[in-house]
Amino acid sequence: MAKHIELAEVLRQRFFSGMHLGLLRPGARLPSARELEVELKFDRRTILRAYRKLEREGLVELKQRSGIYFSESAPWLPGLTPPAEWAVDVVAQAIAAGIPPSQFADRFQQYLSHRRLRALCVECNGDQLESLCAEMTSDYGFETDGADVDQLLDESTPRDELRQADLIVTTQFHAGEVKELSSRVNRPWIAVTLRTDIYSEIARLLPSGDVYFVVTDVRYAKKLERIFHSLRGGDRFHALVIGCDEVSIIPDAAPVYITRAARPRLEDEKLLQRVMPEERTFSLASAREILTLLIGSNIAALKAPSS
Amino acid sequence: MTDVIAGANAPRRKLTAALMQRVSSGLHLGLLRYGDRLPSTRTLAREFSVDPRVVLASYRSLEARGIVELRARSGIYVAAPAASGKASAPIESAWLIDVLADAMGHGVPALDFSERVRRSMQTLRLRATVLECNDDQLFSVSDELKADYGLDVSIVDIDSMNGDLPVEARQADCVVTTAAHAEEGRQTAQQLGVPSLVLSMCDDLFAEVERLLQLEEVYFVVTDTRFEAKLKRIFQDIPGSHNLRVLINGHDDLDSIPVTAPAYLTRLTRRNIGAAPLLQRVIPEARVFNDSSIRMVLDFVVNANLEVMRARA
Repeated sequence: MAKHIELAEVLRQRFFSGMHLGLLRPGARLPSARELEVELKFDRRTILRAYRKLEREGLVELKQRSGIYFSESAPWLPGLTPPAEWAVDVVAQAIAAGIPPSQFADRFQQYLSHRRLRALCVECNGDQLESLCAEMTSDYGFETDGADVDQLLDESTPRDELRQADLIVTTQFHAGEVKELSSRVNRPWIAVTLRTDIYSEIARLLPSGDVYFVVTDVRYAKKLERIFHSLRGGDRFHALVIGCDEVSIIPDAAPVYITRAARPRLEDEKLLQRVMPEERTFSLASAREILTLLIGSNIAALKAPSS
Repeated sequence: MTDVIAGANAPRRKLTAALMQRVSSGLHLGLLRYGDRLPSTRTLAREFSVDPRVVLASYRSLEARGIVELRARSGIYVAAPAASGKASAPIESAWLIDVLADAMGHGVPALDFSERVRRSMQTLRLRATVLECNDDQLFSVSDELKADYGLDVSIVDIDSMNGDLPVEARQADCVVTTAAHAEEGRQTAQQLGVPSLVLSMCDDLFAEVERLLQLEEVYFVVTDTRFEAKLKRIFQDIPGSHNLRVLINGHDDLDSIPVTAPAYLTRLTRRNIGAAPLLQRVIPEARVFNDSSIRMVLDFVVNANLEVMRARA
């Protein structure tokens, strides 16, 4: 991969993480090419090329003699649209594959949602369960149920949601248990890997200050603490559980992450407003695996003679 | 993914494109029919100087798109059109997964993807004025702009323009023409204050015609005598140009075309011809613009749509 494309990806992730942690707002000034040169050890021309690429995507604005800014009217914000050059590329490929642009939307949708699939999400805590279910529903169109991993393991007769699942979804932590569960009912399963950009951004920030993580389930708080406390500056990591801990102790300028499950239960409006919710947590490799199953099932259903 | 495309798979992709073009040109010119046997992997490996396994991989990828059929112990055949009766080619699932995973990387959920693309093409109803010097090209260019890109089109015959545009043609968002009229297109666009798009026609089909002209007679059936003259000019300097036969629909006897000769019908001719035996052996081509022209039109459409979406946001 060309260096500037690789770097653009690093910067893109960092900016998104910055928004999810409430550190970066639209219009904010971004580090100059010179500052990044020192930090990331890329040469300045590569950094500028990466910034230009992000500019074409509408993510940043390069202002003459002034600096580089996080875009005010970013077209990638939820509900808007992917970058133009990329959209052109995809539609051109579709035409080469024999799909006219006017049919493009319908054809793609058909391969994703001709058949409605059911997923059972399995985890040991409410925060991660909520985020697995939400992502399977909103991004891939699955009908989802959630279940606690220990409860499922204890049941002598597998519940309907397990027996009827088109896919059982969990995270890497519970891969072993879910593999065992899926073999009981002979259903496919996946242990998704989660994107690590938020975690690595937190690890990067810890040596220089406190970082807060707001959750709903004490079991998830414990899990996070185990991960971060071993790192440099790990004692500056604070997992707060809604209902147990006081979120008002979070200083205004501190980076804070709020899980999807915690958002609706958080009453602190000010806190909610300064943090952009993270919508996508599955890694691209996991997204690919889910898409492969989803598209495969839809193609099979489309080919089958309609009854 | 970019690495894979640029690296190890490059020869296969090139070959796949060449084979796909050869099959589709063959069908468009009436030289191939559905179910015909295609050259073996060994023959093609020799012709293209690649490993037979690369040829096989290319054939498999065409098979996944429903273009050819690999029969065990028998050979490779042109696949019958989609059995469902709909003229839609199946989507290759590997490609679909690539595109959607890439969309995820850009922050677009798989489920929203097609809607986002649709909005970046169809938020605006765009109008194009097409300039050309003959009915055949006016028809094929405007037909494709309407059917594939959803543009509203007004057509202007350059010969009867006299420097003046009809009212509806003045309301265009862009002026579209082909290379032969690039200058007129540019001037008209400037006059209207809109971009001009200069398109090129599918070069692959013309390349195939050039190749065939050296071997045998090739027939074109057109509607407008001015396109006949243009075609003769286009092919006049190539070896085998004496093999070019241009017939005018409604004027010349189409039955004089030998059953086995390659024949090409313009879109306008095809629409006017009714039910002729010729139509049955020649498959209409899906599109007439070449790849860079497709991108030019998409660039214009997508950017115009995004601009208005950003302004509304």
